[in-house]
Amino acid sequence: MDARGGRGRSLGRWAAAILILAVLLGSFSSSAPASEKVTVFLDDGGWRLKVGGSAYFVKGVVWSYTPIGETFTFNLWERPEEHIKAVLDHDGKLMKAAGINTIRTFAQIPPKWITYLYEEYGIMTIVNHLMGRYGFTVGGIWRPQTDYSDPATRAAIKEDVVELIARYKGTPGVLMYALGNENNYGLYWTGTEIQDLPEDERQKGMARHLYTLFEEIIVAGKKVDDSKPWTIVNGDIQFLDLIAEEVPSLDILGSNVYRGRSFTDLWERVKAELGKPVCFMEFGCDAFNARTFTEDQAAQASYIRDQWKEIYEKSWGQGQEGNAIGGFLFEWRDEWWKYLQTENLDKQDKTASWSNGAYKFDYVEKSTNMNEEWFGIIAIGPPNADGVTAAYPRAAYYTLQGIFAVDPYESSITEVAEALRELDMDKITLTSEIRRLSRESRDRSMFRLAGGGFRGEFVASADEQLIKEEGQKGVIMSHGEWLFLDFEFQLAKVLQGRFTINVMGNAPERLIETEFYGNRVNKGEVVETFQVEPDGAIGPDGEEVDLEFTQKRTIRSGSQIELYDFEAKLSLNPFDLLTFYHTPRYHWRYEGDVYGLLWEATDIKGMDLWNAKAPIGAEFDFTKGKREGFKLVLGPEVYWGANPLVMVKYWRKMGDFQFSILHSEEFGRFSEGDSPSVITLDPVRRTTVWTRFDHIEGLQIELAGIMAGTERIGDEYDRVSSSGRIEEREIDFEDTLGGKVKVTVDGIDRIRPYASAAYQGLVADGGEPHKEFGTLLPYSQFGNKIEYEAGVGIFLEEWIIFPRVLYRENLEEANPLIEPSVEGTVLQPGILPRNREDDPFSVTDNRQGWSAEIFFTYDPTGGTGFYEWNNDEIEDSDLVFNFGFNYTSYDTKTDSWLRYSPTFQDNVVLGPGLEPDDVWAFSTRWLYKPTADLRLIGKFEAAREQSWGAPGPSRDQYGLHLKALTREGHFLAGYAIKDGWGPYDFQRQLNFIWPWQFGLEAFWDISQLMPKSVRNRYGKRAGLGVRTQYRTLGDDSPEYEPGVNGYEFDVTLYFKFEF
Amino acid sequence: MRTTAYGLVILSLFLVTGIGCGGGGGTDKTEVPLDTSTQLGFLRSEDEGLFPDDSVLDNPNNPFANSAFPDLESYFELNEDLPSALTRYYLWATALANLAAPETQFLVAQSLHELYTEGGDPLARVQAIRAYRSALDNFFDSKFFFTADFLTGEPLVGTAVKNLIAENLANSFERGLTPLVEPFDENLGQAQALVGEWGYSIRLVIAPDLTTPNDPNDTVVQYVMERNL
Repeated sequence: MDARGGRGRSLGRWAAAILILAVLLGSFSSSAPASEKVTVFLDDGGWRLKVGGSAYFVKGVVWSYTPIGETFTFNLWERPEEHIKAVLDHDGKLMKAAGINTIRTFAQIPPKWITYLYEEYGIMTIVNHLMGRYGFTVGGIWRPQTDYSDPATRAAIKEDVVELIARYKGTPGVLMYALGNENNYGLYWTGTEIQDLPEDERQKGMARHLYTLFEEIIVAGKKVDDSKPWTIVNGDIQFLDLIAEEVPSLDILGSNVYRGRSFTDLWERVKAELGKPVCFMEFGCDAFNARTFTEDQAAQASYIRDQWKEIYEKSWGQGQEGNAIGGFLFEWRDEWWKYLQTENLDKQDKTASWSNGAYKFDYVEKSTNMNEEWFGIIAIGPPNADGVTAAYPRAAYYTLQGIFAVDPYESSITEVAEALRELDMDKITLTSEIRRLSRESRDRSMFRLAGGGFRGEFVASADEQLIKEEGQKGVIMSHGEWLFLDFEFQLAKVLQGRFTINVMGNAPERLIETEFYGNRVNKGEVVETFQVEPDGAIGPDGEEVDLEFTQKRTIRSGSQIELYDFEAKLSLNPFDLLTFYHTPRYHWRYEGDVYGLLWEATDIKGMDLWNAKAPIGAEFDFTKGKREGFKLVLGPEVYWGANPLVMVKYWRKMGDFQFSILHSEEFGRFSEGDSPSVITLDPVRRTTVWTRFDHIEGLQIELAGIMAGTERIGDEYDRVSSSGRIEEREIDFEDTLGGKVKVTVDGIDRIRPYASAAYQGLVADGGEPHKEFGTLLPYSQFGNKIEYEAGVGIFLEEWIIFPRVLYRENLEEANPLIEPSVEGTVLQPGILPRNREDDPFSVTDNRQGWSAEIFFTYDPTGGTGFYEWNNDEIEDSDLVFNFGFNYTSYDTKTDSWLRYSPTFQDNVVLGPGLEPDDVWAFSTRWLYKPTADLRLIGKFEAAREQSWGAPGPSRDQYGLHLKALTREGHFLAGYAIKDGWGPYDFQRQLNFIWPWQFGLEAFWDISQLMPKSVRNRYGKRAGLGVRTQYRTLGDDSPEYEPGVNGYEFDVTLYFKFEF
Repeated sequence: MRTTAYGLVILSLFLVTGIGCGGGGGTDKTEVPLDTSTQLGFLRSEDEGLFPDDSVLDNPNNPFANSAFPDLESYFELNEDLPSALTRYYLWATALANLAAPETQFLVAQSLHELYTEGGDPLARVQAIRAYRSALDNFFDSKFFFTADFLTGEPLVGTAVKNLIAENLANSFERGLTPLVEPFDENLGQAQALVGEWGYSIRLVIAPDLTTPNDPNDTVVQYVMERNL
């Protein structure tokens, strides 16, 4: 036995086994491609990118997917897998057909979907961390303005990027890593180090912090994954010298460049000053002509062709700079949310938001021409049969298809030029225009039905008395039908609008929910009675009798059809004119309206209860959407309860200094017949000024002044002097003035304290108080006060703790009630509590007292604010909650409160006022997402509170509200309230209390049961629901009768369909 | 720069909190002397005291124009203590202007009638006649409620205002009033002629005497105002 030979055979077997295993492994690994190494390569021809050793020219687009009606919070990756796949398949096919090989996105695509796109369509992705461009959470604090000089911020961003890279490392389909998005355009923080430098130097000082952080992160990132190149996304080539100096580890200069048809000297400068390859992370042209106010596909396609032609010419081997490695055209699809971001989400806004003279086809001096919502090479529309937002390729798409058919590395510069020349731009544009016109003639004619909805209800309602007296027959059965039809119109290029018509069938009758939209039909009900006396009627015993028949006829005089809302916009050169009727409008508080004179009018549902139609009016916007400049609003009711008025505002921001001036002139009183649903008072003239200084390190100083109610100068009012005598005084000019100072300390880590002091004369009434972070401090719009407030925002990791205190004194206290009396021949006339109907001012919610509170908020992500009105729908954290407690001590009584009485169509006085008392409130709200498809939301409140006018004891109340929402649209909600007021304001005004109130509602979205094609094309939502309410009656319930009537209930079955 | 800013803030705080320290004295109105004369004298407008005119609130002679009446009841309470018919006129005219309560028009008329009785002021007579007519024209079916202290339990009893007007006009002496229309010895006939011009008539009926509820045979003559068809 040859031991060696035997060993040799043995080795041979091992070698064979290893070979076989290697082959097997090789074949296995080829079925699941590994992440390929990507390198940047320089030779005599210039720079090239190599993927797995092969040259790779980036033929990219910035890819996004935001359906109509959604905004930046939309997250495709949270949708069902089937839907994600449908979207990627749809767009992947289109992109592949155009020759696109790479995409860049702002939202992180999960690794599995990057690989999916790569495997199925050969499309690679760059992973882009935004580096705090739009704010960043540092130590649990959401900081909207990122300070790149702050060590904690730098560490937090670095840690986040490194974590991201670790997650994506080895993902097949990743082309490179990118950092930021024009972060050099967002350097606004303040700090000791740079504060005293001249403006240019200050900017550069801040930029240096940014670029050193880029370098730190790239070095750290390469330690995690060095198989991909690293780039930054710079705004043009600003600070090129700093990049060269501070970011030596950079592989590729990524840049967003909007220079029109040509990138001019960029290539030359980058080659000379940086010596790195260039990849454009954004460039392109919008498809809307701001000059002609029409879509302009030809201009977009033409600009894009020239831009790509230049990129090709500057690439490897073309004999020029050779530093272009490709780029990402901005952008793939239109995004309808980009202008105003949370408004008009279902409309493609035509307002140009910035100006760029390099796009000469629509540039007009001193005017904006860049339309953010029109940059797509794909226009979008309603969902297709698969539920994917429809895509309509523009001429630019076909142009790109022609360009990308050419491989710059296989073609000479002459061949590239020839290929692009052969593109028949006229034909491409004409074909696309025909497609567009055909689509628009179908979708957007001069006047069209844009959508609508139907709701049908069947209601059973009763109370104990009805049940006892009539049994089952006592249950009131009724039904209701609502139909809404939404119309859009475009009467000229610059005039477009929309309106909704409501058609009511019947309105149901409810005992609990007595006020609701549509019951105008019932309010107009007239019952006519007829008596019929037939001659010679014969009774059962043959006698002649007179019979009387009573017949009732119901006439509905309330309108069955009404205009529900309306808005139209006329876009002219100096201003936009917006007319509005019952459409939501926002306040101007962030534009300098510090006294809140323009109230927010977004509570459309609240107004609908009373069929109120505010806001009604028109706005002239000379700022053209930029906020700075003049705005003028006028109308009969520009917010709910407003008198007819004109309001003009000028706001200006100059560096660290802002100021505004606002004047409001009311011209009359919202009167009988105008269906006012809230308290209106005599017309008032108001003027306010406001300034804010931010240029002192760590301090924000606001000064404000108000002059209001000058028309009341000379009006008399009664008061009780300190000696107990009753005096009559007059309103002076001084009583119309007010002022406020607020100082916020902004420079302490994790702590943001503020303090303010304010004075408002007797009649210097402001507007809607500004409430932030869920505060329960008892702010008031009215004057007659000196007010001090202080608070500290404490930001700890994922928590916000906010203690606040408020102290208020009245300049004139409320009047007591002293009834008149007579002694001999002397009358003591007494004194009445004041009321705003008969007196120039009064003490109501502006009463003297102090209030303290503390709120704890747990919100790990700052992007979707816990206190946003739509947080239930948009919250992105798995768990958020808050809890807080407020204690308020009212030292003195109030004057009389007013209530608007629909019966008398006038204000009525609600008793002599509220007594001094201490009140408190505890509240907590939470949102928990146990799975990506389910949201559990709850709210609990316990409080001791006073009414809004009617005398009576303070009430201890408790309320629990729970809701479960699913992504498919199903929900289950319920509530239990003990000793609470009812759902309407007047019930708290009148101090009506129900011992127990319960409610339960379940809604089943049946959209999924409809055929897919029908659902996606015609139906937004359809569902069936049941809603029950039950409440017990007590001494303070208006319907209560001891032993006779102790409860009432409503049960509503409903169906709704939105199309 | 920082010093300037702090100075600015402190100055603002001073201005903001100091500006409210003003406020001069007002006119004392703790007490108002009541006029006990028997002449009406001055009317703010021709229709003062007649629904729906509210000019009495601007009449400088009206001591109640700025008095603090929280409700109708407080007028009745004060009425008890008033020293003269003139002051009662102003009281009820004020109540009518403020509340437009039906019975207050009758009380305006009655106080003017009393004033005429006291001083024979011809203006008071004319206004009393107009006020009675206004009460009939505007509040014909209204009730006047009073506490029947002559009955057990002192219940609240409602009496038709129109009948009280009939009594005051047609049976003035019994009511302690001077007839508004001469000759006085033909009180009933003159009253019937007066209200007849307005479209009403006065009828006399025999009715149980409520003050002696235990004796059903006790009757009284009641004056009843009726609207002519």
